[in-house]
Amino acid sequence: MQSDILFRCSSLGRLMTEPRSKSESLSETAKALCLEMFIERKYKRRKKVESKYMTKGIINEEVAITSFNVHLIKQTGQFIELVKNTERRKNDFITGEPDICNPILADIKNCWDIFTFFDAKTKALNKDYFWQLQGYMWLFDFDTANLVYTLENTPNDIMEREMRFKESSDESDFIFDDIPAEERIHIINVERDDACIEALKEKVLLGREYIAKLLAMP
Amino acid sequence: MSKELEKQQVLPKLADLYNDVDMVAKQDQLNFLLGQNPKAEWIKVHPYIQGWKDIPIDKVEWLLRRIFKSYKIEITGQGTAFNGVWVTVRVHYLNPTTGEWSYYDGIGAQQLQTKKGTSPAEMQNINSGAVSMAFPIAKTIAIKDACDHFGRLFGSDLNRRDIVPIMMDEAVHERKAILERAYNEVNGVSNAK
Repeated sequence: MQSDILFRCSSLGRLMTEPRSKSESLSETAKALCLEMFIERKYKRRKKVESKYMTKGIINEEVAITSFNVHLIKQTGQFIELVKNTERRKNDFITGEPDICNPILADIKNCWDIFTFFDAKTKALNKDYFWQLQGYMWLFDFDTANLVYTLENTPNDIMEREMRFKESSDESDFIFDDIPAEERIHIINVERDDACIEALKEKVLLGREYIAKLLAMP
Repeated sequence: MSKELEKQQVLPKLADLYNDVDMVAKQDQLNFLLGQNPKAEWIKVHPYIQGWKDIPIDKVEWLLRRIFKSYKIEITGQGTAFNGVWVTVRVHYLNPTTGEWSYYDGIGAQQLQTKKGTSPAEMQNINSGAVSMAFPIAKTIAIKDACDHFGRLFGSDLNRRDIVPIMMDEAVHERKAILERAYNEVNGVSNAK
């Protein structure tokens, strides 16, 4: 079997979705993920997912880390300096690169606007993120992880583009400086669950089996 | 749980690399300046090499004077090769961030001018004054070649297809100040470091 196929932590949520029927080992969502991985492996083409939401998150990554860092200093009273992690780790099953792994483990989600921020703040933990953090805790050997939602100002070029195409848009949809910083951050602590990690291992094996079948197709 | 974790690409932090962070910050500013694109109107296409972009020597010398204040050109070698001449130079410059002299080497060559439609391989075809014309041109090319090492501002990337944007680490310093302010605020320290 394709034992060198590693699943990215950010894709574990898709892999772990429950199939509709008990007779199925992988859900349709998981199969779709495996199909993408098969195409990437065999034909060297990776499905590109780009959106304004992701672009904002990427551009604001450092700003969001700083916001979380300030929050942490204010909570603990200690001078802690968080640095964007650049280390990608892998084990026999998965691979991943969290935003922060020293001295704590955290992944930061930069919300698009105030509505998506409060959506995240009031709803139950997103399952995709739960699995992503389980993956990071497994790789980086942590017992807890933080899922950090922040609401940062929208970068100028994205804001201008949005305002050009939406006549009714006003700046307050994109700039949040008037909201106190402590109200623009939401942290969810996630505990490591070894039973979930065992379940991850099983699903990775099933996923590999499925990819192997696809690779064997004429 | 698997303990066979593999580490990849652990990048050092700025503070891990240097002791004198202030000096590094100045050097960083200089690097940022040198990493800017040259003015578009300075860029000319080389008269002899098709499609080759170039910055004229007067602009290069102006940049040297403007940025480094003190510089010296040393001819370190000259000679003939095939049907032309070559010159090597060493451009010494005073690094404004460290106050120390440093240098870059460059090489330039120029073909000897020959009578129109004749082969430069035969000595009798070489125009009178060709040698005295060729050496200064070769020297100019050598200076520009040496100055290429300074960075994009001197035209280092004019003929490269894939270039990486250069950014200053100013954000790093700004970030540190924000964190220090937060720490001082929470601990009741009135004067930030």
